[in-house]
Amino acid sequence: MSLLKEDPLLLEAFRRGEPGALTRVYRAYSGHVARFLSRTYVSRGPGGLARVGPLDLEAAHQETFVRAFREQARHTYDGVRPYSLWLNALARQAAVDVLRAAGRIAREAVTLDDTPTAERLASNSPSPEDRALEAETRELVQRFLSGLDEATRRLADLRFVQGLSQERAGLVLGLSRQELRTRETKLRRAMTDFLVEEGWLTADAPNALPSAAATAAVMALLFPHFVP
Amino acid sequence: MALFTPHVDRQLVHLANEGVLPPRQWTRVLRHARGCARCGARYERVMNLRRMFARDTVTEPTPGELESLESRGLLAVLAAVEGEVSSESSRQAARADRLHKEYLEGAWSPGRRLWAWVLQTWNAPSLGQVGGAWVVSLMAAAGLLWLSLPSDTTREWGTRGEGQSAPVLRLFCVPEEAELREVRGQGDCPAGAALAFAAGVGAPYTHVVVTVRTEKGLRVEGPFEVKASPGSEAALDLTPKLPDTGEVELTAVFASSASEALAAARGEPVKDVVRVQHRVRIAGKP
Repeated sequence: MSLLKEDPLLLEAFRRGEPGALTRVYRAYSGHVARFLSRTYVSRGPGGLARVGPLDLEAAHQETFVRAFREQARHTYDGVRPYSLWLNALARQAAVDVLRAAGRIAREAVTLDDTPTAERLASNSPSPEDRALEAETRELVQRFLSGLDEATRRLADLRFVQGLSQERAGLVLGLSRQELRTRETKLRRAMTDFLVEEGWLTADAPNALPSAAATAAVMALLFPHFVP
Repeated sequence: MALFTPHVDRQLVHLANEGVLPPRQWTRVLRHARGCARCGARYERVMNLRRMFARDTVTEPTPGELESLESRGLLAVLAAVEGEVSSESSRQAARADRLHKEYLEGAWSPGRRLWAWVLQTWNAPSLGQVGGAWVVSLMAAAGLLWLSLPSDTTREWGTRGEGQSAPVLRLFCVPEEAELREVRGQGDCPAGAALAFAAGVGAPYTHVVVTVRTEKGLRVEGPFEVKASPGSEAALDLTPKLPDTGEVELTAVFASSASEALAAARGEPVKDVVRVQHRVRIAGKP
């Protein structure tokens, strides 16, 4: 896909910085930039190759487009090369700056583009850290799914993995919307409990009622002479 | 036990279960998590879990993440670019950086902390289930706490005199480990500190937009509705962090509507706006 290459009018409007054109370009390439940032190793961090994690994705994504939409950048793009490659170069540099600002890589770190070719070649496959992270997360997911009965596992697959809507998942499973909601509530509660047990989340569930101590504190604040 | 936690555990549970959060809540969670090592690590683990569910890898964003980036990021990017176009001094100065948009949790004014605390409480999902009495109790407690703030703190945001109709903007330097102080004219503030703002308006002015220019670029913040009674001032929900060196130029544009304030801040011709400028040098010990 090369939106700007195929549409000269859009390219002209883009160069003039018209909001409508910028919006079209942003929408067309937002996913591409997010995926590129998430999967590409952009620098060497203290623990090896560094890439943008979920926490820094939004910052790096926005920084990329802010740089790409600057007047100078808009005019520098020649309209011949694929715009996605142009964005990749900007994204790589923006990612390094974001990671550097967040302290995840050294201030002196440079992009892998500026390192010798041999080191760049090594970045094409997942780093050992990412392999370990994936293995740990995958194992956690499998352990959670294996603790469910067959019907609930199917529901988890449709809703969490395949991302179907409740309506469509209900059709596939032959359940009414209300039945599906009830089962899904149980599934979500089971998942929360599982993550709390595994130490991934705290026990402070969103549906928890205020504790007696908290209630007493508020009562004491409101009614200083109140004695329960 | 703490009555309320400043962390985002509840939102992380929701994120783990749903994979997405409402846009504004997601922004708040990210802002907190990027400045909090504890919540940052948990956020990463939760999102990696969702990625594993959706894509079977941690290096591919989920559909929810992609959708959120597309919808939430566009406005910020366009605002940054428009700010660049309207900048008068130099093209190089136009870098609407997200890097400095990390709010200092510890540098918030007491009033803002309380307001955020009340908002966080109001947004908590459990409130809907515990009945109206609990909500009323919380709001009343928040009101009592507000009244019980130390008097010297309330003076910081106090009345500047009656009968004043021109908009005013007061600027405060908030060092990390020192007391907040007002910056007058071209004052100094140490590197790493945050700035805080108090604004007062009279009719017809109701909204203000603040542009923050550093050596690294220009950022447009707002519009903010100034909810202060005539003659008094209100804190703006804005605490930009100062860069390490250089100078920060702040311009507040007051107008009678949010759109007019924003348009004027972008450099468009708008009648009846008031501009207030401050310049802060990065100097002095933190």
